[in-house]
Amino acid sequence: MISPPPEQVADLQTFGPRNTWCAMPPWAHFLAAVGERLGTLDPSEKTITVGISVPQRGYAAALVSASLVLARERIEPLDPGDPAAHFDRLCSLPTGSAVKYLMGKKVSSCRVIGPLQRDGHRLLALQLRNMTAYIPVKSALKVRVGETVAAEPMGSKTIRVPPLLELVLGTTHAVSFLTAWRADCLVVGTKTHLQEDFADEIFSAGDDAHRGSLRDIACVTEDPQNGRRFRVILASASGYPDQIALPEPPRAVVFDGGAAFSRWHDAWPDAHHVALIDRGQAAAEEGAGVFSESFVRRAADSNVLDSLQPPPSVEYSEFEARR
Amino acid sequence: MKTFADIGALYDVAASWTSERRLIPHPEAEAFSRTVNAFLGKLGDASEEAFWGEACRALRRARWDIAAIPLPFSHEEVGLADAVRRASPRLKACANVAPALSEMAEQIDGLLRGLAESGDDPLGDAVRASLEERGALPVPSPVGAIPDLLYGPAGYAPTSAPELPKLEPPRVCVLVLRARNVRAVREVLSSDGFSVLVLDPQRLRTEGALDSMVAVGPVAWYPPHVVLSPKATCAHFCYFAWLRDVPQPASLLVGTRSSLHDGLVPAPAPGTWTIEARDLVPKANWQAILRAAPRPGDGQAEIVRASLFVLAPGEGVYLSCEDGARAYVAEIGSAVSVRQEPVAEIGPGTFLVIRTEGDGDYIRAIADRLLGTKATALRAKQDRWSAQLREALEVMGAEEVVRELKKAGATHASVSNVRRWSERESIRTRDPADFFAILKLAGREHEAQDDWGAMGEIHAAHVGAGQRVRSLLVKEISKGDAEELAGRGWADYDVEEIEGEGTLRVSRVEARSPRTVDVAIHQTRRLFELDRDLWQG
Repeated sequence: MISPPPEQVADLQTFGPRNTWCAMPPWAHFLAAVGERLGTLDPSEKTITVGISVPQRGYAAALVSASLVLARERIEPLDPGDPAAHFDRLCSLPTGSAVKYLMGKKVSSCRVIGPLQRDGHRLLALQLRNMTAYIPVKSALKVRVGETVAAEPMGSKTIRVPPLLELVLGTTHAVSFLTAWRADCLVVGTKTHLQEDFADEIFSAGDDAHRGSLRDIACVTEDPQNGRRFRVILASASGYPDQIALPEPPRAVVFDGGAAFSRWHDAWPDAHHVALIDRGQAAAEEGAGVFSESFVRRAADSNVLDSLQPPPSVEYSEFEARR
Repeated sequence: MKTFADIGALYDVAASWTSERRLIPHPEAEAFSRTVNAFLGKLGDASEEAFWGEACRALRRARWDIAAIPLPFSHEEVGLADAVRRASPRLKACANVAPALSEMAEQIDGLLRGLAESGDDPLGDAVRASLEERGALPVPSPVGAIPDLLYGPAGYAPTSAPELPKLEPPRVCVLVLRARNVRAVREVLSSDGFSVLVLDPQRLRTEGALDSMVAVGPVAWYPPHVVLSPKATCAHFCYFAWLRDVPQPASLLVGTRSSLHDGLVPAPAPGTWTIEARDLVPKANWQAILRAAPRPGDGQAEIVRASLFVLAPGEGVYLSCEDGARAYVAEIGSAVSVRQEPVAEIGPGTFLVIRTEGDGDYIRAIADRLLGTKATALRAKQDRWSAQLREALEVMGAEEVVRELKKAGATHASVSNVRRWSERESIRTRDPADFFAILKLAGREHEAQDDWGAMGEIHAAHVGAGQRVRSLLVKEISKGDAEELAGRGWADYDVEEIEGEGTLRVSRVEARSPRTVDVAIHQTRRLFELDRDLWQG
């Protein structure tokens, strides 16, 4: 049965073993709910550390991070809200500034020529590759300030919007979502395992047409310097924190496994932390030990996840971290 | 890769698993265990000394093997005949050295000899009984009524009858404590008609959800994951009645806000004589192992911090555990893979890949072959920049070097990074800005571009060598019997295409030294023999 469009990852359905669509199982629902809560909390106010012990950590990091991305996008979309204010901002850009112009699922990289008045209407002139476009105030939200790390050459391309993302965000929002980047979440773990979890196309609203993966929602990259549309960055736990060139501090870090947490827990103190401890792994006790040390040094108790009910196979602990 | 459904099944097991305990009486085995316990207690520290050392180690080991291996006492794998050979002469001589204990020694000798010749298999019998209870029925061969009835005879394909749902046999495993016993236990169970998985705790980690598990020994003998990450809906723990099990923590996280389902039933009330189960677990004698292992003898050699690993064939190997040090490990499961893993994360159960002869750094040797005639000149450049950085560290100190490198444009200079870059094995930094800063500090800024390119060639050769070794080794292991490797604990692979570089030995880590030691760098990654007694208790 096809359900109404899901608003959050926990609302998605998964393709079950008997070739049927079923609701998220309680464990996956809980993990998605953790991401949902953290995605709405601004870490500049306080940073929360959540420890979650699971019998097997597969899919856990993908569920938490994709949910976090979607939750943040809902309350803090990169898409500017007020067309008039955004128009003024665009008009203040220097001539030649790189911007993107969205037309349906097509995105054109172009340059600002400048504002002008025509028939009493304010317009913004943009230089596309082969033409000049005049943008009225009401269409200002279709112009995005160049948020790429490097300005792209002028040209147009059609954005492939994954059906699952389109279902969750709607077409316009999904296109806008895919043309910008933000470091919502850094996931540290074993990259090959994480890639497989993110890429598994087993999620939908109960229909095959919108079937997709958590990668579709999380916009995952391994190379944020060259990635032009991402929300989640993957990093290998066996590397070094300083080897990841992050374009901005991440809002949250998900440590996929006890080893990742014990090795990297100090690296991003200004982000929310989620330590996913796989009780089946040798590093579980070490990770739990490091979590205990951080817990002892905590700034305060936290009750962000209080109303959530984990299944009896999952335990969690949370605290407000000392900065 | 486990699917979403596989993982969900493991969550379901963890949320609802149950357990049973099957306590096994055996008067002779109990009498042996009790008397050995009393004897070792009376000897005190003398049990470690020269006269008693070997005999007492043999008795401790026999006491453990009797209680841990589900095979007949007289089975070679239990090793009681060997224990008799090693302990009996000293026990017989006890009247001369400790007359007060001679009666006890004589009793132990008699009990040990009796057990060594006994075909009794109380643990194996308990395992078989538990298996039958859990529906893992013995399969009469070659063709029998039970499997035919349950699963349909081979080749049977009804044409007219409606299709009945296929009845899956229950997924049952037997869990034994030591991987080295897996093969023998499987063979004996198989000869009794039981076709079940036999696993050790390390292999259990990668297993999917099971219907039942029959574990040999009390919970206290198993690593925490056996109960904290249960794989079977119902777990049977079979062990001798005189072993006192201790409760396991049912939680892992401090300040936990939710309670985990605990399927473990409490241990029943102890009998008349009991011993703490944990006291029987063989402990590696690290002091003796480290005494027996090679130590730095050359005053000029570069010293590194290393961990000592005891491997399945009874060998030791030092691996550098300096920050960032890695080693090749093999994962032997349904699929074989070879990858690099931080040495800090390598522990018992991991399969290490070590070269059996020559320099332990086989990747470097293969990379040099790939580089051909250019290798010498390129390696000289590599040695030069890292030596200059080491010299700067010695002369200026790490903090000052970091400051200077930052001034020179380095982007990732920190004390730990600079130390890592200065290691002899270091090829280049990740970011060229850091490398150029190092050469600037060394007064060779003009050569930086050239050296960066040269190091790029070495790096590419190492990547190529690593990929080559990985793929060839995976091919070789897959060609052979991975199950055999997992059961035996080690195997040698002569990878034809890297001939001349020595055989690669894949060995399971049995133990890791609890503390690190300083050794010469050339002593790392080289195998050396160890006396089995030192690490098997």
